Amino acid sequence: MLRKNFFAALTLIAGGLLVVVSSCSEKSPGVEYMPDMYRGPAIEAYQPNGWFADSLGARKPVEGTIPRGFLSYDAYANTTEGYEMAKANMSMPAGFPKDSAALAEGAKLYGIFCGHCHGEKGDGNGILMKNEKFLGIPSYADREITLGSIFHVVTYGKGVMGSHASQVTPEERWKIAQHVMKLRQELVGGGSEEAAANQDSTAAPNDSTAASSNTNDNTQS
Amino acid sequence: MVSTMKNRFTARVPHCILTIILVLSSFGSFAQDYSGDAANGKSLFNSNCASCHALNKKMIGPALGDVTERRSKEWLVKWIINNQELRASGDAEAKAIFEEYNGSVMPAFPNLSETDVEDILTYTIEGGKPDDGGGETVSVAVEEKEADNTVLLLVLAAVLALLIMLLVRVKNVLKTVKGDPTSTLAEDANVITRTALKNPKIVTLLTIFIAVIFFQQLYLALMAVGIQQEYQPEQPIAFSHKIHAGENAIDCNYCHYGARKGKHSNIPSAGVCMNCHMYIQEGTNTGTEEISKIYAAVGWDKENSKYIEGYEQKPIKWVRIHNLPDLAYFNHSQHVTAGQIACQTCHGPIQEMEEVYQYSPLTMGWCINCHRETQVQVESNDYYSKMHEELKEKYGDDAEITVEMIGGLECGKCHY
Repeated sequence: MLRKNFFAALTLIAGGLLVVVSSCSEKSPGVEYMPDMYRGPAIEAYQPNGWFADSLGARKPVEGTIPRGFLSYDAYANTTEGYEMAKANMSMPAGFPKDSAALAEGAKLYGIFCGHCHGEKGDGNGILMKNEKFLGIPSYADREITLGSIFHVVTYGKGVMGSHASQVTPEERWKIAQHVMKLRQELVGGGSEEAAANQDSTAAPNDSTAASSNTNDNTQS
Repeated sequence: MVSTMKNRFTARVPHCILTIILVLSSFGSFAQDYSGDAANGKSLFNSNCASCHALNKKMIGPALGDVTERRSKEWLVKWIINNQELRASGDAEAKAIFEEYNGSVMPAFPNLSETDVEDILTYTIEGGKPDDGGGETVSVAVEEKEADNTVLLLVLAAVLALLIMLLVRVKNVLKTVKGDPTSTLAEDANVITRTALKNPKIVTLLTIFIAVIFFQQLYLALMAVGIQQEYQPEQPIAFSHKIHAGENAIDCNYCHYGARKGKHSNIPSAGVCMNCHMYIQEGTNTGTEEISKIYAAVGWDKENSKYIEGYEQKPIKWVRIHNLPDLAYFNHSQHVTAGQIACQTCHGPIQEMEEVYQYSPLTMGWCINCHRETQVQVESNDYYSKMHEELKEKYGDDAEITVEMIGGLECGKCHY
């Protein structure tokens, strides 16, 4: 009788354990030995934070916060006028690198942030275009662009392109802009580039009615 | 019978014609003839217009499916080739459109000829038809679920039970024939168990067998404590890395732009999603269902293609998958930028994962093993140029430098 009970108990325990183990699903992270050691009281990024009513861990910087070395871009607004102004007037501020290393870095960043739409060559034939996810991406050769206008578009976005300001720093934007200008030159070829530059300087609109006299794409390329 | 049908048919013909005429005339005065090449029009539309226009919905610019009914051909040609000129010439319609779309500028297309424009306009008519021959039906690849074999096991159990019952029947029939008293299944089982339990050898074997299984399971269960490998929580949005990183080959760093520079590989904000999903409003697998969750989070008005003013944004509560204990320090930039390790080395074939799971065990043994085996990318890597010179002196010019040699096994590197 005793033996029989022992046998039954052992079977029950083994069976129960099997059930427990097999019910550990991949939807739960499981248990930890000492959670208080694994998860210290110091607040880590991306964890709920009880200090705030919405418990949001990833918070926005306090209003007015600027990073070290920040250059204000407020002079160029996120409007058509701002775009035209940036295109005509803005050049790369001093202090940003424009050597071959910067250009190489720009090419790398372009591959990460731009290539899937604009294509590795800048002809608007990125993989998203080939997969027909995005359509109508222009080739750089067909658009009148300057370093300033590229910086403006990366910062604010244009048309269906969103702002990439959170993803690339101003320095990286200038590097990308240099690479884009290089791509454009390769697409257009040397001769017409000069003509385009001339066209651009005559088209510089400085008055506030820039939008209506916008000569955005009038140049024959 | 046939003749009556014929009569009915012929009687209907004038009605048909009348209806067609009525429908056509209801299109107004702009029902003009467009006989361009729709196929060429489609490719021109896709490369020149589609970033701002769709046929059946308003985007940056108006929907163009019925534009040929709204405007005259002559006007459209002028507008498309150079709308700024048309506006400058004082055309009232052109100015009104410009105002309606808040002064957003449509580029001029001097590269398009009038024939090209006609092709495009023909496409806007043909392409808008629902039963367009060219419109291929997209077959959605159904995810092959791993076959659940519970049903199979149940069937097997039923068959075995049936077999036992049959054998009992057979045995009883044989016993009846022989003249012995019959016994039920329960009685048999009882007798067999009692006899077996009286035999010490069988009891010992059984106990050992059960104990081995018990301790094996116990060992496995205890070893799994604190290890979350294959953890695959359900996320608030069914985001597919397979579609984004795999099929569309978007660089990991595009969304996780923090991995190059910081300790954390950031969870992308909804704003980053919107960089593409302002435009792409329908997903490959789930249509609008999942993408509309991003819109609900950020307050995007898809009808008018703009953010709703004063919208209270609702952050998306993504569930963190990789929970490295706080007692271990890990820095992404150190591995991604300085070490030039591919994301997949630790995260596995992310580009094939519909739903992400934790690929690596993230145990200390796993870290240490990799630090022992992995060679440091010292060649043309600014991070190690100075150190490389020193290491060459120490280990010789051709030595393979592993992470261990540059201190990758020191306790304080990760625990402090």
